Amino acid sequence: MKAVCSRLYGRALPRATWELASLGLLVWAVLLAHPRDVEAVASREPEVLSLFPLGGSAASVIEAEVLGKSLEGAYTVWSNREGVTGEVRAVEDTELVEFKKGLMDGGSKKTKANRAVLTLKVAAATPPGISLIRLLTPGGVSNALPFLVLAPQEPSVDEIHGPHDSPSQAQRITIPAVVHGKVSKSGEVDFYEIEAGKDQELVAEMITKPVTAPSSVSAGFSTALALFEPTGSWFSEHQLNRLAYSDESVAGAVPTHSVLRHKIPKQGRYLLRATSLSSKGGPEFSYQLRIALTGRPSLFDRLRESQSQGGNDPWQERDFTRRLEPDRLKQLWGRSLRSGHGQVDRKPDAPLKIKEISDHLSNSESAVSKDEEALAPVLLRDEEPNDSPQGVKKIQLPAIIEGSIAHPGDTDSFKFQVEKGDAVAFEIETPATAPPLFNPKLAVLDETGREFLGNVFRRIARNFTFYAKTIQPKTVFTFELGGEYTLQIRDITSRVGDPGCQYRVLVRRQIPHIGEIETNVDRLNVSRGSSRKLNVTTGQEEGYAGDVAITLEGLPEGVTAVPGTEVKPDRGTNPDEGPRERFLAKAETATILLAAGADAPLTAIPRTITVVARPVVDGIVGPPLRSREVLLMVVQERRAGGKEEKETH
Amino acid sequence: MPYRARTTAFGLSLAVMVLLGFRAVCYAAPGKASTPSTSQVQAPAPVSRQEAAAKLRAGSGSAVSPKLEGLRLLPENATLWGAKASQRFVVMGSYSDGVERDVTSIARLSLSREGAARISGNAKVVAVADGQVTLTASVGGRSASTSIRVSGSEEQRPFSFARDLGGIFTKRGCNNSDCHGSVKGKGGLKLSANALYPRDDYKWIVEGGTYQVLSADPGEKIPRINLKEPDKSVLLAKPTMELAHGGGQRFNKDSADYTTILDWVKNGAPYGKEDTQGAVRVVGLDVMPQEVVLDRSGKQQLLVTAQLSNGRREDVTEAVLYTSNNPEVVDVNEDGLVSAVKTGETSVMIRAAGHAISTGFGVIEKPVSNYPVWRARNFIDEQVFAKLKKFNIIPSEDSGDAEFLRRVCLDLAGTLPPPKRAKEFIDSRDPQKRDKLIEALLGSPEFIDFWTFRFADLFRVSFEQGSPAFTKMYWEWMRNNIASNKPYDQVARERVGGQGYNGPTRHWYGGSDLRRPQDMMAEEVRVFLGRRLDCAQCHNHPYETWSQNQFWGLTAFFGRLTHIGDLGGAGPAVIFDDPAGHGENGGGAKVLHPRTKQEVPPSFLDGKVLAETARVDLRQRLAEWMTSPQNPYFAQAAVNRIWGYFFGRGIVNPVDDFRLTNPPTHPQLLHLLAKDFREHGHDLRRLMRLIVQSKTYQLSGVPNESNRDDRINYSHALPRALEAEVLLDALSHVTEIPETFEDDSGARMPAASRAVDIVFFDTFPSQFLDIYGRPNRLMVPERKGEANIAQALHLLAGPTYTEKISKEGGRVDRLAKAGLTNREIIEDLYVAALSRLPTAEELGFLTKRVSQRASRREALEDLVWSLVTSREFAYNH
Repeated sequence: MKAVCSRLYGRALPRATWELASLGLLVWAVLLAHPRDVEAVASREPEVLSLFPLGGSAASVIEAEVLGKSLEGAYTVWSNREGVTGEVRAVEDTELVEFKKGLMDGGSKKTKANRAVLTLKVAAATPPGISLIRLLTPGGVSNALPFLVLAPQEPSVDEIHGPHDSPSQAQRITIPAVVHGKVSKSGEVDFYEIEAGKDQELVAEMITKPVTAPSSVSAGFSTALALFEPTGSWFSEHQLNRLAYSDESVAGAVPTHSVLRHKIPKQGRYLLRATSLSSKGGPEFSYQLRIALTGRPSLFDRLRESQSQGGNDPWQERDFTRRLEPDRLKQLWGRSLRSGHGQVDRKPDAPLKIKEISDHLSNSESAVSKDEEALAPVLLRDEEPNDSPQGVKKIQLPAIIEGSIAHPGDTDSFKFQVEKGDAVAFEIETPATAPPLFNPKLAVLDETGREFLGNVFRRIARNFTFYAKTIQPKTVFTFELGGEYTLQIRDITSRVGDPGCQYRVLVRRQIPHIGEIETNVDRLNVSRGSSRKLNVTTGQEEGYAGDVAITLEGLPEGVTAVPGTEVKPDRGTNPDEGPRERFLAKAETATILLAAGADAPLTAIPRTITVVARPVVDGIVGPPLRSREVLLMVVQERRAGGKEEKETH
Repeated sequence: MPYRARTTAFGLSLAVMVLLGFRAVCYAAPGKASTPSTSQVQAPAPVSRQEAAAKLRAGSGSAVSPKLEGLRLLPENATLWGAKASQRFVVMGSYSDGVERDVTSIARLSLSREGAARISGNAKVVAVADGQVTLTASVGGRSASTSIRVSGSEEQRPFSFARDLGGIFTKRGCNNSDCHGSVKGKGGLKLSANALYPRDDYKWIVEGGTYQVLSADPGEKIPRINLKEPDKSVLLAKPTMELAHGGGQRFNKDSADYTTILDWVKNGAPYGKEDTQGAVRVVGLDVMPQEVVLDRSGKQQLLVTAQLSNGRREDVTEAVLYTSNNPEVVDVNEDGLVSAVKTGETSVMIRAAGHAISTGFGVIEKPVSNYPVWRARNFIDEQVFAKLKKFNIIPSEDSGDAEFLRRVCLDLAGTLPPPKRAKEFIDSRDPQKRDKLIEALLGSPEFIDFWTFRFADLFRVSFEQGSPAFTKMYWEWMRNNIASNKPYDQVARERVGGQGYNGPTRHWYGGSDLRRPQDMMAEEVRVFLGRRLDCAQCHNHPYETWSQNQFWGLTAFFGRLTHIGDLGGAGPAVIFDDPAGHGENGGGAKVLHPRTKQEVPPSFLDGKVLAETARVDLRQRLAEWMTSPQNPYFAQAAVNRIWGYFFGRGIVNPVDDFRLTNPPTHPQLLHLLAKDFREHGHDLRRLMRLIVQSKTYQLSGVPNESNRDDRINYSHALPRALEAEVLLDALSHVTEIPETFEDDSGARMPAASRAVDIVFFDTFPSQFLDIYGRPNRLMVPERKGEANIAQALHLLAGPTYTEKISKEGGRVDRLAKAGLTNREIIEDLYVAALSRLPTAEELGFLTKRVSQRASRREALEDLVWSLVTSREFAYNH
């Protein structure tokens, strides 16, 4: 790919995205109410580590605490959601114990830190969900922390100040409740006492980072949640009998959002114990404990469901939870361009001129042909029995197959026909249970029953000692022989299977297009007279061979974007990756340097920069694909320790 | 207390140690008079066990010579098949002292008629012609008879290399594991150990060549026989020392063995019929008599019979190799005559081509004429006491309440009883109190914690699972198994056949990679079947019947085990079996034999190859086979392991080393325990209840004269070193100062956590736990409980002891400030540490010494130190 970066020189774009920036107006209002000299202090880039409490109810004002580094001079709060606002009331110095990163590593050190005292306001009409909170300092905008806006039926409770690390001191909680607490020091456990009735279903969640929070959000600590019955024992009347422990199988290697479900055996008093899995603690170890007895879906489940309904990133090319709807082909064509469909007719190798790009930036729309749009996939349902290739349903491409691996060992088979040279894409979605609990394995068999294509990508891993394998939500393949083939879907194990193991498989002809567009950062604090690097990586899907034009919308005055290069370390070649292109998109990274002039106006609030990519095929510029948004601030030249701070990304 | 202070207080410490040291030797715990248990009430003994033991000590157990009361002939109703077939007989005499003796040497043998058979020397009857005769033995006016049938007396038995030459090689020790039966053989000749692989032996002898571990290439081939000049064959010249032979002379030229080999070479060195061609082969061995008791001058002739594949039997007494497992107890000659050497117990191994068997021997001083009689609580007691009686060992008295209480609390819950509970229990007159206590302990949360710890040890819950979350997943699975009392066969199936993303599948992690298939297999077999196959990875097992083919055949069940995702802890990984061949290490799903480089099909330990049509979900098939009711290994291994926890040794010991050369001390007990376990749903708690309810378990640790040297018959409780974690918890319990588990980053387990609660044992370093034998769990742990110099130093000056004892807020501090008398404090400390009250002697001595010391606090600290460093404290007994 030849990434084409436009030089915008601060020119206002006709379709600049001010949506998120408009939220900043609220912040601006706060700023005006509390004028601060944003030039007074210049420091390192701010980093926030924890927020306490981790959430609050609508129509409430919350005293909150943020712990972090380089927060000196923090002057306001930035939120990505309307309805959540805040102000900084004080910032003071403190110390934190910094543990080594490795989960099993030992070692720690005390480090200088800051504690910011905030007032957060949650407007009355704010719907429940996750807000991302950042602090603005003279050093720029911080990374994000999650703040959970509670539903009206979820009363917020603060952890008591006194100790409640033994059953006899347990904090009494009336259910339902959302408790905000801290594991204030290593080894601390927090006990909460609840009353529950026979056969009631308890759902408790301990959250330090919500399950669907973006990876850029500051990581929470590993949680551990247990339910006890204070039965006593022959040895001690104070002995607890453990009934349940949070189910780590839903939370992964670092369980920052644990869920505990338990059917209460009898009416009585029970104890919940919240702590950190690693036995570490500190003032930044804040958590939210949600306790309900209704058997309603947990927040975990609701967030997962929301994610699967497309409530997350703008475009998911390769994620098992993306939606594969009948308009998928239209969406894909919207990310592509075919010669003859654009407004400019040129020879394939003719150079693209800046003026031509500019012309299209303002008015290019999807170049999808009406014919292609009409090719909506047929929706089919899995009909048992279809475990073996004999006598199974035949599908016409394109098709979406809906089904489930209803019992362990269940295999669903379908036949399809292709012509010689057909390039076909197989996409898999798991609408309910997703990997690693349900791992759909796709296999294509030839007429002899031999599997020659699947969705397991195998490559030599570390030290070349073994193969690392992953299942992929998408596989592409070009058939060298036409004819009838069998598609089989099952769980990769032979033990998993129930009605929740649902799948949707889209089988279609390949559409060369631009896939996911990623940036290496979600915030940039550019000092006057210096530059910061923004890497934009675009996926080239299904043989897309065109160029990608990348523009940045919303640059503040005095900041310019110029193409750059990045020297990457030579990692050598991997000797045996197999047909990588079958499973993974080709990806190209464009490096853009964002330079702030020495006299660039300082920004008091972040500007939202939108990365826009456009396919360019045969010199024709395709429709704009708005993707990642990056917060940008122009800050005073840094002089931390008399040295220019190094890049932190 | 600082080390200096401890040395100044040494006078008191030493005195207390002397007292406790004495107790540690005998492990008596009289305390208050015990309430008789139910079994004791039901089982009045005509003569108490102490009295009987005293009689034995005084030599009055057998005042007059025993009288012969009966005779029997072994074997009964023999059949002699084939020309020149023969059978040795043994005459057993039953005596009035309860001992059965071999009286063959003084018996007169006669046949009912001549013609069908004749009697030769050594009580051997030789076939002459088809027919039936009766053999009668007479001794001292008593006689016994048995019938003998002779058939096929005209038929020559067909030659078989495996039986005839394999038998010679075995009998003469040629194929011993320290000779030509070693891994690569000796002197250029390789023979399979115990003639397990006759076809291979034939090849090495006839064709020559040497065995290579990693290659099937035999190298230079030099035959060991000479077909042109048979008597020049190396195979004959070496064992007769015509050529220098490192193994010395094995037979002479006049022997039948020499003739057999020479005739074989002269006949062109045939192999004979293959098994598949209907060759008659040996399928098993029987030995008579079983479990023999000898007095100090006793002798016993063994009879060994081969079971043939055609259903017939053949006397092979003179064709097998006998070895005493302990020549200091019994000696055995090459004809199978066993002679007592000194008192003790051992077994005699018998090897024939491809087979081995053993029989037990006990050598006693003198029989007890009035052996105590009492009723067993359950079948465990029936089996244990039957053997004790046979071997003339008198069991110890029943344990006192205090002794039992401490033992059962530590065994079931890993926790010392609280002083208040201990006093209640000892004072209680409820005849059911022991059973009630057992139920309370089996249902306690402490039981779940403790047995989770023990199985986390056995199942190796460690950092190898990749991340703390995954380690915890595995540990939680184990904990839930214990809490729910999941059937143990289900536990095994879930682990061996585990797939997906769940607790048991984390077991397969080996850090950042999966463990090797052969290592996985060997561990599963060791843990669940109690067999150690590791040797067979590179060669046929030198002592056992496990072959390299069997090893790799079993390994083949793990060949498809693979994963998707990251094993390094960064993300979730899913374990599954991939039939398409995405095997580990790039090797595909096929498991190759390291020597032949040929694919090895999945085959069970019994040699049965898994049918191709059944090769789906291989590990599940293996798990089903392992836990099948038809598979005796699983239940036996499980009960033996659990038994080992309660008695300090397994019925087969070590608990995971079942092999022919390591026979069980109580085979029938092992069989019955396994049967009961199987028939009751592999219920671990039920098994434990059965064990701790038995009188055998509840015997005192105080030995008597007859059982003082007994270590294997459960005649008295043997002291067992507390596991490191249990010892540390006990120390915290006595001192009332909980241990702080903290790593160097400041991570700390919650206050008052017990050592047995540690999940991430790699994370929390502990010098104490390391010194006292906490294993690293990189392999199946073996806690030997052996003392070492580091422990001795730690006892004297280790911070764990000194700091806990003297710390403010601890038990000593509390008691000293409570206004109690010295006597009250001493009693409290004794009950806390030893679960018993001090004896009058101890109390008198200690009260006086404490009151004499200038510093009462120091004296009490010294007393606690003496208690917790005593063997009585550090052992369960």
